[in-house]
Amino acid sequence: MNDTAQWIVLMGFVVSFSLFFLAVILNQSTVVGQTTAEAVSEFPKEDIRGVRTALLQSNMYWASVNDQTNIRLDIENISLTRQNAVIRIYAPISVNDTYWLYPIHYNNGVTEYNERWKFP
Amino acid sequence: MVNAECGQLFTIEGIAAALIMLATVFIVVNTTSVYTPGDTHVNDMQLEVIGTDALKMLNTPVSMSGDGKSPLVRMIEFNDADAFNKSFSNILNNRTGADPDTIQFSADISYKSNCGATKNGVNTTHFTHSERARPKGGLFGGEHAVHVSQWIILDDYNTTTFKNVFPEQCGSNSAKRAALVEVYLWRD
Amino acid sequence: MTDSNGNLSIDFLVGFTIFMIAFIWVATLVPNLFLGVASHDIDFDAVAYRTSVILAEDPGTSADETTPWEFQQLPSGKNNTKRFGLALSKDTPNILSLEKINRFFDSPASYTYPDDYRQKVIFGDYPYRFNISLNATGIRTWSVGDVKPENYGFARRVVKIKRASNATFDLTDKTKFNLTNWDTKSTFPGQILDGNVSFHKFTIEINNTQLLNENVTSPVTDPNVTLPNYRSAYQINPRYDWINITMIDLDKYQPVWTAGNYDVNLTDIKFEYITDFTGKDGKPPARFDLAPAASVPHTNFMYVDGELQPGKFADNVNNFTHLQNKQNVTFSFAPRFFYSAEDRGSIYVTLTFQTRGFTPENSGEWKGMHYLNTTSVPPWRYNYNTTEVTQPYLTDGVLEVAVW
Repeated sequence: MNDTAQWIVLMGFVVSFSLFFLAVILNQSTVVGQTTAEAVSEFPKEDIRGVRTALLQSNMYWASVNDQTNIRLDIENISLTRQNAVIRIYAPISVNDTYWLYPIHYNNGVTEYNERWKFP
Repeated sequence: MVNAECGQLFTIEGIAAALIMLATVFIVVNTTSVYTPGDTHVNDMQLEVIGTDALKMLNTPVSMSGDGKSPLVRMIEFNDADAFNKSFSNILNNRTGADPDTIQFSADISYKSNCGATKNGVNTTHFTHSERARPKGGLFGGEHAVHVSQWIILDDYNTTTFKNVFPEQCGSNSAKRAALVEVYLWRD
Repeated sequence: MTDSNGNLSIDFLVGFTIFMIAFIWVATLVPNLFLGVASHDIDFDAVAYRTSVILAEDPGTSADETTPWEFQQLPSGKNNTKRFGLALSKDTPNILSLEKINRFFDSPASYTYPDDYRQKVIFGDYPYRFNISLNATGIRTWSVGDVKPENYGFARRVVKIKRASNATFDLTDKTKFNLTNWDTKSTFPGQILDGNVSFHKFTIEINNTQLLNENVTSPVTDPNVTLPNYRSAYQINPRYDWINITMIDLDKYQPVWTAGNYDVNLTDIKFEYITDFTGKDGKPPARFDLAPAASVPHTNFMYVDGELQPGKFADNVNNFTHLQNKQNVTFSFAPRFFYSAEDRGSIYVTLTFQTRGFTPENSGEWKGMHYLNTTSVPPWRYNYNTTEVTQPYLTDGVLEVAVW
């Protein structure tokens, strides 16, 4: 069988495959801008900051225990129903009687955040 | 003598290769998507950043003299929707060089109910919305809106002490409580 | 017989030609794939957002641990700034420092556009062009960079700017500091029995330990609303903030009997500090002279009736004296004026007044008179007491970053 002409078809195939490859790569680049913006929106930076500030504000050692408990329960409940995030603040831990550690936990299913805030 | 059929093989092969390449390029050029600006969600992200910044700045006390409460907490404790409209709208739409922006908003407050049928559940009540939003509750569903929120701590839910905005709270609860201010923002 | 081994057959040529035509046509269609993709402007918005976060939420870094980037000496310390950032501290995002803003936008005197900014705030391999502007309500609008074109990536942040505290000392404050009659029971000859002396020392105390560590309001407001991690937004930090003290109603400080005929000379201003409040061995705590920091000389800090008294006080005594016909005096101590003190202890500013009043009825001669004096009372304090000192406050602003 004389197949010296096969290389024409082969060249045709080579060109097609390289075009497909190029197209796949180029397709990804248009998504770059979109995924950057989505990543920024998805990370709950401001949610975590807001919860942290509210919890720290309410949990300072001079606040009444009743207030601390109320605010903590409010935040945990409202956060679960409105923001779909689990929040828990644990009792402060005293270290050497010189400072306190306030453990904070946040989890919205995608992002988890844990902190032990040191005060003073 | 040249085999007459061998030559035809070249022609047909050439045509076949040409058709393959043309078909490929046709498919490729037609399927590569064109992203419109709206698809990239960049505008959404920008609006959300402006909204969270504005709400956070409104929830920052101006100075620690006086009672040290932020303007947002004071406005909600006294149910001052006009003041909220004015200052929030101002902060949202302020630009450095050009004319003000046209961002509209609708604000709700979520809180934990302490009496009645919904006791210990979370209620949401509408606070206010911007001037140009529709009269009934602000959001009518046709806007492309983003959602921002901010936690506040209030002195109490007692609607007789303040005139605050929580309709289902019973009086005589004068402990500090937390609430979530949620705002929907869209560009007009 | 024809030998066609070395020749191309016509059919081959035809096939090859069809292939080449198709190939050339495809090759010209491929650039259409690149139309929607220009590699740099796809990420203008992302770079603008990142730059806005660095400026609004980060306090900036300096390679030199002891000096923040906004106080580096220029031009020698320019490269000590590793990264710009306008926030007060990492705990106070979106609350900006005015000193940082002034230094950041000081182009071309401090930093050159675009190179310095590209290295320290824009980052990235591609040479982006940019325009950063900040509009502060009630102050001014700053801007650095090129004119914006039609198409650019954009980020806008809402910020607050911390403004300095200041204190006003008026006639009601002055009456608390008269050196009044004391020791009236003493019969020791020559004992000064009244406050009519010629030299008065008036001390202003700036208590570092209290300002940096204790509650930022006085009297203490409801502590539940104090934001524990936002302290740097509301505190007075004497070594790094502006300290402004204005004394008004100066023309009313003299006693009535002088009938308007009196002299007041400010003869000395001394800056001292202590590091501990308890002295050793029963002695009072050691006082140290507060030497000026390298970049902030102790000059140009005093304004009399709105006019700057230039130069150093010791060299220009005549310029500072003669306050008898003046209405007000303002002391404006710039950031790092008191840097040589430490973060604990107190700073003392001691003013020495030489005074005399003319007594027309009694003896028709000059004699000493009452004036501001803290030798027998505690010094006047610059602290968080809201009735005496206007506390630091925040004003609104908008930061816009455009990248292209």
